[in-house]
Amino acid sequence: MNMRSGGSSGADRISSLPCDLLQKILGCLSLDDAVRTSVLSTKWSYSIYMSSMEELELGGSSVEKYNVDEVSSTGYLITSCPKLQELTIECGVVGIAVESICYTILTSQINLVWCCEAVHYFIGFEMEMEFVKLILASTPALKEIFDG
Amino acid sequence: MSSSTKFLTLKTCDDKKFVLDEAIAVRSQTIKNMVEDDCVSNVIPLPNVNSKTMTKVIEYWKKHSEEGVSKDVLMDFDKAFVKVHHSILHALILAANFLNDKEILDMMCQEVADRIKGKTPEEIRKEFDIKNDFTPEEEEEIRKENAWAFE
Repeated sequence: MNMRSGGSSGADRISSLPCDLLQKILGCLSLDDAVRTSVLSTKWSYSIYMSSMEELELGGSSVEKYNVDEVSSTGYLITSCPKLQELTIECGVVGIAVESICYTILTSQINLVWCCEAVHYFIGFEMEMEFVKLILASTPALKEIFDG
Repeated sequence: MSSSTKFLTLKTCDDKKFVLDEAIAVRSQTIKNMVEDDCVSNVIPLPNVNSKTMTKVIEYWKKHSEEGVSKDVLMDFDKAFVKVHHSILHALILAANFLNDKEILDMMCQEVADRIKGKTPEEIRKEFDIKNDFTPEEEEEIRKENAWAFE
């Protein structure tokens, strides 16, 4: 049941917040919570959020849920962030996930170079050599690489 | 700090006036800038804030300016402060943004995020009265693209 008190409630006001404020709210969420908001309504389409994101952290709690199909969104997520400067991929828990991400990015012809152009800082965890090569090849601005 | 208390008058968009100690009002960076630039006449107009919202903001400012209030008391105050209908959350976010009060803005955005966390899209729509304007096909497409997040 909807809680409606008086006449002032019931309207969707949160969605009408300016984009920068919606992004601020989304920035307080974990990646999967943020991504789930993308189906709320067209206003919440998370591309709005991703397009200005400078840091991206993949993995953590969501990594255990990865399987080969799901990893295809990883590449999609990376390509949605043209302003990306810092990329963290934490896949140590499930070694196979790194391979799958690598495989997905390679086979789906995602233009990783374009989307990682400004990335200057990369953190990975227990990376496979193939994956390290891929990251090195795609990040011309890379200054630091960190294997956790 | 000056020894005499200076007062400012804030006028909200619905023509209500609030007389406030300047030392409290400058919690708003917007007002602070105006005071520092010396462009404060008698009344500071706040065209984007209504009196109901301003009352809440001032309630927060005053509590957080009180001397000798323990951290626990402030935490309880903040917890109660954010427990409002989403329409008021929305008004407070806009007001805090306009007044440039990072503390209130951060707290309110965090509260919206907390109400989103761990909920299904259906539950979030219900919480904020969000109308789904996707066609079922479009929605299905987004869910499929990001299946990992919807498990």
